[in-house]
This record gives sequence, C-alpha cells and structure tokens, in this order.
Amino acid sequence: MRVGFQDELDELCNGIQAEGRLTAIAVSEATRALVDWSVQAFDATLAAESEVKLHYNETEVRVETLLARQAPVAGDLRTVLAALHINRSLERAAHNAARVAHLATPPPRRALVEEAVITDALRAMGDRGAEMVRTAIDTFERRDANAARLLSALDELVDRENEKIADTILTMENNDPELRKWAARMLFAGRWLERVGDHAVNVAERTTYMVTGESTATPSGPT
Amino acid sequence: MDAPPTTTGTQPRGLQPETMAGASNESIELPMDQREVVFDCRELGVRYAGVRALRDVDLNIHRNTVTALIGPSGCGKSTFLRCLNRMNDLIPSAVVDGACLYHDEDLYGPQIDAIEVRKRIGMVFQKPNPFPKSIYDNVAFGPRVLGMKDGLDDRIEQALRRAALWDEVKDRLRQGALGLSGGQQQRLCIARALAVEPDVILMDEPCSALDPISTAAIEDLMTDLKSEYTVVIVTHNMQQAARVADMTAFFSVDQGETGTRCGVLIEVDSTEKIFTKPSNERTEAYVTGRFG
Repeated sequence: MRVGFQDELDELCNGIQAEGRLTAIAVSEATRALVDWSVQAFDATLAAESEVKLHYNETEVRVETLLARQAPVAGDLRTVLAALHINRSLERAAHNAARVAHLATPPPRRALVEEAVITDALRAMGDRGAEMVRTAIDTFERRDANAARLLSALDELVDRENEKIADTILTMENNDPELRKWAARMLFAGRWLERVGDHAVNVAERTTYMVTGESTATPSGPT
Repeated sequence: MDAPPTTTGTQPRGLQPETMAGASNESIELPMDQREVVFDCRELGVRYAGVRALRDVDLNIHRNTVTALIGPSGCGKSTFLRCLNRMNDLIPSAVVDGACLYHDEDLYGPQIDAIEVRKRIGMVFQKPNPFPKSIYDNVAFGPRVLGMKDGLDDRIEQALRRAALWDEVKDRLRQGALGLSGGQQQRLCIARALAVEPDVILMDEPCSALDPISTAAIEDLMTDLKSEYTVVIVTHNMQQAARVADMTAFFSVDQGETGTRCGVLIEVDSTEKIFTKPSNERTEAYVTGRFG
C-alpha cells in the first residue's frame, strides 16, 4: 500500500471539495449582489473567488507533482485527470460569479413588469447554479457516477430561465436608454450564470468518468 | 513428464517455414484482436513435483504485438512464459497440462521437436548471458549449430542491425563479447536469438539488470522488433509494460484452503485498458500499488 501516495490523492480530492464549496458561495453571493444590490455580497463574491483561485493554483501543483512522481494508473489516474478538469470548471464558474457581481446595477424602474421578470429569472438562475455546484461537488465527494443526468436536467431549467431573459429583453417596447443599458448588463449576467450551470454539469460528468472510466464529457468553451 | 496433451493434427504446420519471421508482417496493420493468433493457450497449467504452480490459463497471443505478463512474485508469469517454448521440459519435475497451440499446432504434440520449437521461439533472459567468445561467434553460434551456414556474415550483420547493436560493434566483431556493457550484452543476446530467424521472442525480465539508458534502448528495440516478430515479455516494472506492450496479461496468486499457492491469470486486455480502466478489482489493486 502506497500510504504517502494515498495521502496525496486525499489532499487533492479535499482541495477540490473545498474549492467547490467556495465556488458555490461565490455564485450564491454574486446572485445576491446582482439582484439585491448588496455591497457585502459583492465583497463576499470577490473574496470567495480569490480563495478559489488559490485552491486552483494549489490543485495544479498537486496534479503536476502526482503525475511526475507517482505515475498514477487506472482509478488513481482517472481521479487525477478528473481533478484537473474539475479544477478548471470550478475556477471558471467562480470567475463567472465575479463577472456577475460586477454587473450589479439597480433597474431604472422604467418597465416594472419586464424588470421583475428579468430579476426573478436571474435570481432563479443564480440559486439553481449554486445548488448545482454544491450537488456536483457532493457527487464528486461521494464518487456518485449517476448524478450527471440529474445535473443535466437542472441545467436545462437554468437554460430556460436564460432564454426567458433574452426573450423579455428582445420584446421590450420601452426604448429608454437607461433601461436598455441595464437590460444589456442583465443579458450578460444571464450568460455568465448559464455558464455556471454548464460547469457544474462538467464536474458531474468528470466524476462519472472518474468512477466508471466512461467519458460522457462534452468539451466546454473557454468561459 | 506426463504424456503430452493430445495433438489435434498430424502435420506440424505451426513449425513450417511460412510461419517464420519475415514471411508476412501485414497483420501489424490490423486491429489487435484481428491479428493472427500465434499462441492459443487453453486451460494451460503447470505442476512442479506434483505441486500446482499455475492453472487454467486461457490466453491468446497475437502476431506482431508485444504482450507483457505482469504480476506479483510467484504468480506463475515466468512459468507461463517458459511453457511457450517448452523450457519447462528442462525441469524434470515439471508437468504441463491443458493445451498450448502454436499456429494451431499443439506445441506439446508427440511429433513436435522441442529443439525446433526453441529455434522458432527464442528467449532472452533476465541477466545477459553471452558466451565467452567473440561478438561474431556469439551471434553465429545458433546458425552454425543449425547448419545455417550460407551467407553467415550477412546473417550476423542483419541480426546485429535488428538488435540495434551493429553500429556499436561493427569494427570489433572479433573482440570478446564479455567486454561489452550490460546493455550491449543484452542486445547481443537478442541478436543471438534473432540470428536463427525466430517467429517469436520471449523475454524474461530483460531489463532488470540494466541501467535506465540501456533499458530505454531495449524498450525501443522491442517496439522495432514487433514489426517482424511477436514479442512476449515478463516484467516486474509496470511502467515498462505500460510503455512497450500492446497487450498486458495480469497474473496473480490464489491461496487454497490448505495454504497452497497457485498462479492464475486474472485479466488480459489492451495495455491502455489495463492501465486506465481494468475490469477486475485485483488488477486495479495491483497496478495502483495497493496489493503485491
């Protein structure tokens, strides 16, 4: 039994779990910053994102060291490779959360119904995204190969809310420049929250690969 | 020895010249499982002095592949390797049971000449064992004994070239082989095996006594050799199996109720599969270092 090696693998997995929990916090706080215009939530988002970046860098070093010194194979190799990909997904999700927080602006109160629809949809997306990240990380911790399907179903709900935001903005009749400007920011916020859902699905898919060796992952974009 | 297993044919087709190296290497273009089966072992087992050392090995070895046999000490991988060219015949207490078909011919059939088998199925051992003769005479030994005396110089050069040793020794062929480095001596032993135009090269831990640079040279050589030969290697170095083998067979030890230990084949698959997604938990435990 390679005790030191097992300890290093455990550290790698624990680091990913901590990074995942921080990412979920970042998404949750970013959503509060966006729809409730909370300064504390904005600060909390950036603080969580900063910690995620530290974990990201640590994980990169751990993966490099494990590959160079331990030459993992079979299930161990899959764990290391999954951690490498999941690390990237979590870092991107946390970065998207920070982008969302930076877009926080109160609505100009020019089209109350549409503004409420957009805000509610963003809150739903953010809450769902944070829940998806938590679920994905629980999945990784439990080495549950079957959760990717559940995450995909949740991601469809996130996508639907994002489409609702786009449809609402495209059909708005009010041409007030302030409203348009706010709507454009919210369109971007919806896009970044939609990507958070995609990254959570990636985490679950990489977990499935880690457990079964079967790859279901689809390449994700740079965001 | 017990009576050899039943022979299914009357003509030892498997030992005819058309099955020898260089006759055809078209199979290297084919997927692994479609390549010609060189060895078809069925329920192969070995006992030493009545004690079972290996049992029920069902394993196909395909042409133009490198097949690695891995497993903990005492799992029977070397015993199995020695079955493939009847080296166990040299141990009086050894009894081989089951079937070992070589090109569909029973290797242990009554009309099969063990000497001819070892000519077609050469072997390289753990420790380089050149004769205390010149480099030339070492490689020429097999062809001379077998009466292959035509074009001997060309044959020697070809064997040394195939063993990636020619450039290092071409100017000192008449010098003693024992003056070569360990890695060169091992390549000389490979050249000696190649000089009699075998079909298969068996290697029993060929790099365990060599430094990393010599090991890399032998590993490169294995990759080159498989275009013309079928290579079977026993190794304790799992990374070596991962680097050089197309197929990997994992052997382990089963302990009986009376405490007796017997080697068994656990899993055979493509090397990629064995080292990324083995099917058997025992294989996973071994390759990840959690057992053995």
